[in-house]
Amino acid sequence: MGKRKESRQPLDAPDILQRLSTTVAAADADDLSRLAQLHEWCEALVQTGVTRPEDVPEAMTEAARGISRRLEALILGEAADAAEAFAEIAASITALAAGGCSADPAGSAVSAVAADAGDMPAATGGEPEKTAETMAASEPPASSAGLPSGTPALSPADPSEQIAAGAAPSEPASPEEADKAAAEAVAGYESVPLRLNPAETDFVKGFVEEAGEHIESIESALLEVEQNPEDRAKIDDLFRPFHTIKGMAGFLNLRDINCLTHEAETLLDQGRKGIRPITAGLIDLIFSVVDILKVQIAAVGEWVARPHDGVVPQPPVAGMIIKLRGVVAGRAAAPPAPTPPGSPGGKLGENLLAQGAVAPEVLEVALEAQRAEQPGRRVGEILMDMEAVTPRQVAHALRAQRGAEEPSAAAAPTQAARAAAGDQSVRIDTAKLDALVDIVGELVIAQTLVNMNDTVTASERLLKDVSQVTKIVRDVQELAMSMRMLQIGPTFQKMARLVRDVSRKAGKLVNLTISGEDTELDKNVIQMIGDPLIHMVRNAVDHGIEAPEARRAAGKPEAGHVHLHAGHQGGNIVISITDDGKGLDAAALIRKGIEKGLVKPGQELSEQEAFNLIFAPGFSTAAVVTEISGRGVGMDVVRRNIESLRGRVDIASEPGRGSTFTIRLPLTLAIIDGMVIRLGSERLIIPTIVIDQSLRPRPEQITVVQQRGEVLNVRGRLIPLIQLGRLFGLCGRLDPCKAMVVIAQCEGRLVGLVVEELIGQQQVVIKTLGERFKGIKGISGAAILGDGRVGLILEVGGVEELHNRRRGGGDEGVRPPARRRGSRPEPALAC
Amino acid sequence: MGGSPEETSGTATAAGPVGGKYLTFALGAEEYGIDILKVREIMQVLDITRVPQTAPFVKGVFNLRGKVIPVVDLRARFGMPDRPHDDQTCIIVVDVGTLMGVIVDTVRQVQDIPASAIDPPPSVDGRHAVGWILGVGKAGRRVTILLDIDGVLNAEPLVVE
Repeated sequence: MGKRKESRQPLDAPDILQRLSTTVAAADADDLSRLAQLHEWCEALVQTGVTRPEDVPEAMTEAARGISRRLEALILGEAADAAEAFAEIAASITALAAGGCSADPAGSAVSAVAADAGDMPAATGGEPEKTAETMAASEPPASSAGLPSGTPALSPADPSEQIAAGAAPSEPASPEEADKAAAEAVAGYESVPLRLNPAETDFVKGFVEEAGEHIESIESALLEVEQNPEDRAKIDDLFRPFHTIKGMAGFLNLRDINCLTHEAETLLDQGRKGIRPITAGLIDLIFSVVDILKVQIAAVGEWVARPHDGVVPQPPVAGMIIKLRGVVAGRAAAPPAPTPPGSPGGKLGENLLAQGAVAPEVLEVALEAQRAEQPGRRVGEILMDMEAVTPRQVAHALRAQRGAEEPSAAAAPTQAARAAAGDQSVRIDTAKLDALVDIVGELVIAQTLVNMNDTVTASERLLKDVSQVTKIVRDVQELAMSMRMLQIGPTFQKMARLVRDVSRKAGKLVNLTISGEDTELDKNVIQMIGDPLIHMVRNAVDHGIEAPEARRAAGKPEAGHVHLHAGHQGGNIVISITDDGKGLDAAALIRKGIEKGLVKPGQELSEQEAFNLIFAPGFSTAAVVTEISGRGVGMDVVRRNIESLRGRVDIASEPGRGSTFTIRLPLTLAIIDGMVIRLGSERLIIPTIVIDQSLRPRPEQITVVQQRGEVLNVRGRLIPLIQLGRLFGLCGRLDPCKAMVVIAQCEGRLVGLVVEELIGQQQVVIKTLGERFKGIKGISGAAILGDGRVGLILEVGGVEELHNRRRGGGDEGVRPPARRRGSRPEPALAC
Repeated sequence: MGGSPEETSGTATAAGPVGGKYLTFALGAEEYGIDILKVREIMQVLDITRVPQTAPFVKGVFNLRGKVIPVVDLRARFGMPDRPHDDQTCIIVVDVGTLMGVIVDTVRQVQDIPASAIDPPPSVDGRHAVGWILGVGKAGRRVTILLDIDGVLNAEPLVVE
């Protein structure tokens, strides 16, 4: 992860001061990198001040905060006179460093500048509310040119007001006063047209990539904070990526992103300091900030794809910035949220009683239920199932239960460890990793050749040495492979966000649980599995899980349950999505299939075949096409994507009990298990994952069907036979009864491939055939076989398509017509 | 990678006959030359794996130290009759944007052909597209046809229906 730049380990204040004074001596008004460094040290000092107030006097912290803000303005090019502004900053820093703990000189310097710059009030106040106001008011000059101050910043319906309103009872200051303060402090915001320098494309690209990662960590941290709003360490996790994005955006002059993250950061800072309670409304607000950020970053990403000199279109951001400023200013002076009644460490039920959330009788029933039927479940869950309490009340009671416990203390060591680990990683171009895996693959094959060499087997000594080398080579291979591996955890985390959004939209209660998130997958697989997973999870929530009333009527808990699991199984990666919803109704699927013309009336379908119908293009069983899913474009794409990863999807379902979708994927895209077969003098590789079985048919199993050619009857199933050798022009027609038939599956259909001989199973390193062989049907790539020859890897879907086309007609309609290669005009060169 | 026709013919004429080192080889009775800078290596004919749905002049692919490289039979490319491979038959690996192998009857030598010894391509030629010939080199009585190997290999797609 790209967090290397951040100095996370809190440094000692004298250390930081030392670094500040050396850096400032070398810096200069347009030396952005040093300014950035200074900024970072100042922030570090503030950070130290916040985490260890005993080490850093408050005045110094505030002075550092002020300097940091001015540095920011300078970096963003907002200072009227850069040289002068820098000179003043330098003076403040020198004073700060020289004065040690006394912040007086720095303080006066800051005040001087503030008077000078006009919109940069003194930041030496020390009281938090003052700082907060300062933040809101010290925004770039553009703001004063923008909307007139006093613009109604809060529309009645927006979540920010709800936050303010929700917390109002706990606020000692009169609401009118707060409102007034808010209106005064909230300045407008106007986006300035963004222009980026094409010469800096690489930097901007790096920003887009890193920001994407940070957004991911923000989302997962947000979900965690939502679960444990009191956990300071989690809020820190949330704070940090915002800060990094803000910093990077600042250097690249991405003002909208910079300001937006700045405001979000300010808000979170209040939460972190306990000035502001972390409410659901606040989390929602931050989620919408993340959404805007995503769009903003995507816009920059588009510019990276096609850099130009013109104005980069930016999605609107001013509304959100103004809203955030309103929230920040309006609630800045709020005291920490009162702890809910209930004793720390007390029982949840007792706490609920103390809060008056539940009647003693109800609690008694719930406890009885816990003892009798569901010993593993928590009282809170049972009460929620009984609808006796709201999740919010339980959350409050839980909060009280944890009480004065300092959760961040426990989390801190792992935090530090993680930070340290993050700094020790290196970013490597994946092309290099791919090349390494390729070469190591060759090494393994070459090694196998040496192992089988007669000279080696003849000498015991040599054999011993060679087997030692073999072991090392295998280790190297494993290591090379592992370098491309990433944990699936972050991908699952994204699903958590999805479930949250979809279930809210659909008005359902859904709990998502995750297991096996540390399972490692090839980076490419992780990238490509994201979309199919989104589709399937969305389907599970939208189609699988019933509405709360329906669930209650069916005697199930109101909240549905979706479980995501990843793990290894027999050399494959298995990802499963299980829901306890209504399950798939095979009969309904078949009816729908007949309606859509996918199934002939009277055709017998196994349950599995009926389930597989949902993968057919244009198939949707949902009675209502909802906003979220159900347009019938999802599942066929899902299967195609997974098959393109050489994986497969299986469905298990029980009506009324739920469904499980299981995705099986190869461990890596670089290597596959293949069955090597012979046709004439050529050998081909059929990926083992698509093979159903291999057999030598008896004559009575073969029938010739009009229009469809030879058909093999396997226990009542009719499987079309494909003369692979003839199709590829490698040999003539083979008599299936004298040859072998490999039954392979493709998109749920089975085909029988007639081959001359099965040579054996082998792991092969996949090579691309290259650009020049693009468009060959039925071949997905090549591999170097044990003897150094190239073997082609079969792609069954393409073989089937080619077969149907050669037959001219048949059941061509099953697959979409073949994509044509872009026909290039051929030059009339040859005479 | 596949250069468009305009591009290939453009290079051929714009570059014109350039003096320098050429790798010469025989195809039947004729001698050809390829700019030595295009040549990566020369090797014995190894096992070649046939690839379906390719043009007749595409012999298939072979393993060049772990890379899968297409091989074109130059005789078939020029419409010359087939000839069984012998110990003189070679694959010349050339870089024409991608690496490709060409099968030739026999490799002769690396020859320095000065620009002064190169005639412009003949306007009419029985067999080859004019665009593929950079010029005709003359050393003594020997005539070497200097090939624009990019044009030869990139002008037509390898894959056919």
